[in-house]
Amino acid sequence: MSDSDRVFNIINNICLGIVFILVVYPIYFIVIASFSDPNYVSQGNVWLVPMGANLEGYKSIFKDPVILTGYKNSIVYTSVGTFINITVTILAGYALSRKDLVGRNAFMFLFTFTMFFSGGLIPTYLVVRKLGLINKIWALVLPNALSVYYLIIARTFFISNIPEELREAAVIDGCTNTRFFVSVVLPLSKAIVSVLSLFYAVVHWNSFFNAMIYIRDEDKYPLQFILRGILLENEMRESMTQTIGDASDIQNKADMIKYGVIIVASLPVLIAYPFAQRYFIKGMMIGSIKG
Amino acid sequence: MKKCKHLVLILALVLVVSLLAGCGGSVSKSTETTKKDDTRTTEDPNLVGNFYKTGLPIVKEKITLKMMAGKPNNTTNFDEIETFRELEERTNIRIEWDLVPQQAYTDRKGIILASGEYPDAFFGTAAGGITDEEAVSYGSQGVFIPMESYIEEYAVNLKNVFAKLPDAKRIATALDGHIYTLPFIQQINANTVFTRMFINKSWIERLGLSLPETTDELYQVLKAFKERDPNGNNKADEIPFSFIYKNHNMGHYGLMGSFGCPDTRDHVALKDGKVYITATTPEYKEAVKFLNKLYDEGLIDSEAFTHDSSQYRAKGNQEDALYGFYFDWGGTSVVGVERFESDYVPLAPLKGPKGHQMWLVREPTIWGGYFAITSANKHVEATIRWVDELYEEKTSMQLQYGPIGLTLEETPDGKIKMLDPPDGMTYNDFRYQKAPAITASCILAETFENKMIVNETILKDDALYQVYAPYLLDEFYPTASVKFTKEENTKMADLKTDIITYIDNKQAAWITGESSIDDEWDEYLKELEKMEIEEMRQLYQDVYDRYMGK
Repeated sequence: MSDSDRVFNIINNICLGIVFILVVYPIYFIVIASFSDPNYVSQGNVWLVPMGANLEGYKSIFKDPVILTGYKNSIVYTSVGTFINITVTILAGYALSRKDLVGRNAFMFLFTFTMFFSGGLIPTYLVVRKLGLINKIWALVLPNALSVYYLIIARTFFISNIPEELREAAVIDGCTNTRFFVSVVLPLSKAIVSVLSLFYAVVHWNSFFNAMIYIRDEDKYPLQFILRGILLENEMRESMTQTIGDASDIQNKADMIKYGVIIVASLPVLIAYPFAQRYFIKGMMIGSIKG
Repeated sequence: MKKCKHLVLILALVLVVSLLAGCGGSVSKSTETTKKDDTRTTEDPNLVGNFYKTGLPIVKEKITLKMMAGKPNNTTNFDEIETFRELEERTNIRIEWDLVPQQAYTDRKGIILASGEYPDAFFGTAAGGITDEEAVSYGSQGVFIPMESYIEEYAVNLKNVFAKLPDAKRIATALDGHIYTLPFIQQINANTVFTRMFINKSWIERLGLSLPETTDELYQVLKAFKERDPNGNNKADEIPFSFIYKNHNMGHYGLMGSFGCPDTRDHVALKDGKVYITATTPEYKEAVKFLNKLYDEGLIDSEAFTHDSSQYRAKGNQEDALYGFYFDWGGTSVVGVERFESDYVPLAPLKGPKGHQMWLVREPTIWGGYFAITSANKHVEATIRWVDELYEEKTSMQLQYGPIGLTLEETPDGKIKMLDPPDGMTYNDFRYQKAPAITASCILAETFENKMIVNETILKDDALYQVYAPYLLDEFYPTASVKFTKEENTKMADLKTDIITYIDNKQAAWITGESSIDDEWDEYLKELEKMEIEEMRQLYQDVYDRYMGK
């Protein structure tokens, strides 16, 4: 290793270290803030260790029926939604990867077209409404059942990883298309399935906008929507005090559970990540390398 | 060529189909109108079709109206609110609620208004209503129905309110002269005070001082707070005076009145019907100088210009009391209920060096935009009569303060008593649980006085009000009530952004001593002139005159 390499490494490590801190510190801050007394937090005294450490925030989170139902709902929406996503994406991706599909390019064109031009919010709302999906779980999982971007990734994966020869060999042995897909293609596609599952699941887990537009009943709110409500309560409270006077208690409660809720809400994603991670690098490279 | 033929054929087909559809529509319409005419000849002159012109119920056979409303987070589903159930029995009109969570209300309202699939009516709640802008733009497009002629004909209670309270009609009427939305009215005394100031009485007693009555005495007291360690922790951590700069309720505006300058966030005030800009008066200069003196000696929180409300509160909630003197609406939100009750008292307006003693008035709680009927509504008359029922005295009370039997109680002498919340529940949670709280309804001051017995929470608010009541200004600029046209709005926004920012930045610089007000005053006035401050004043004046019907 030459001197210049060493210098390069040192500088490189320093830079990466800084980036690492920039990325990790906000998470760390939220963790310690969730255990701290909200008064210290809003005064800016908390920055390396928790102050006035207590579990009050978490206690009231796990006592709050709305948050617990939200948690349950989010899990249901995420699993059902991801299942639909994966089924549709993998099936469509495989079909489009086959060169003998009639009208393959036309389909692909139609799909990609929607990537750039969508109907827009209000027409989408009207469609969902006319289909009678308002206030039902289906309004959250059926629109956007397919992400064209992930479809292209899946298609590219099949084109590059399932050689034509494999199918020819299977066909000679008397294998049907369905059998080939189930017994050969699927087992070879674990990487892409798990990566796409994670992508889709994170999107479902974090989404609140569709719930805001389509869901009416409190017991159907997903967690992120409730979380957003708690975080926004400050601002709303501010505008409300002008009419009704005093509401300090709401403020304190919101401050107390704010960070705790963020932790609780991101936990499932944090837990799921390591399991999918080993496929991640492999899956992420798909589409970037051809041939 | 062949293709062409096909096209012609298809076009022709489309034409025929659309013609047929058109015919079908008109046919059914005409039968409908004849049907209506037929029923007009029934014996009861009060009954038109299914609709009674006066009295209850409103319709003979039950009808259902679809209404969209924002659901405040601490309110139950509206179907479970007794007040509405009772209303349904009384009027024979069922409401099918499309409830939207509070935090989604604005977005969902926008989508529904843009989608063209309207409910029969928009029902405003504490979660939100219809804005002035929406009322005018959707009103002129015909989405919202002008209600004035219907009100004239059917709305007994509402007409009564408009007669007693001309402001209510003014606020409800859009600039084009139509009434598209109905107001929320709650004439409670406590709502008419702008902000309040609170002082640490325990500190004053400990230091052997007395409550300040003039600005000079305030200065002495704050100085003592700073120097004599009133919280007794041997640390000079006291913050004699704190506020949030530019904040409506927690700002320092009240103090400026002692110098004869009724300053507000918009820096606009009224005298003998004439609008003037407070920030250009000599009184303003004096007030800023006084604040500069306080700041110079370290009596004002050094973070007053930068902290936000959670930091402001956090400092008030430290283990040792830190605040000597602060601004807030109710007082408790800054230092917490317990500490507030043991240590702090409201401070009456101070007498200034020239004997000024005044307090800012808040606009009365008459807010437009809490009920609108859409063009999709097939029972406009019935809807008007239904919403008119909301303005009936007892219904209004229950809509604003919760149903009788839960949060209200009827006393033997026929008054309505507001109950106190049970332990461990805040008044807002208590009151909101079964009431939309802020909606098309009206409680007049006389109703509060003669027909209601208020509870402890309101009494406390009222006690605060009494401190300031003798000093309230007679005149103030009704910023929230006056109506701007679209062009005026743009113009005002253009002028205001520059002018208000400049004024506020200068004031901050002068108070903190970054620059001297004496040196810069003339230059400042010239600069404001260049920014067309006179034009802004005139615009305020024109809009006000039009609002007052001059």
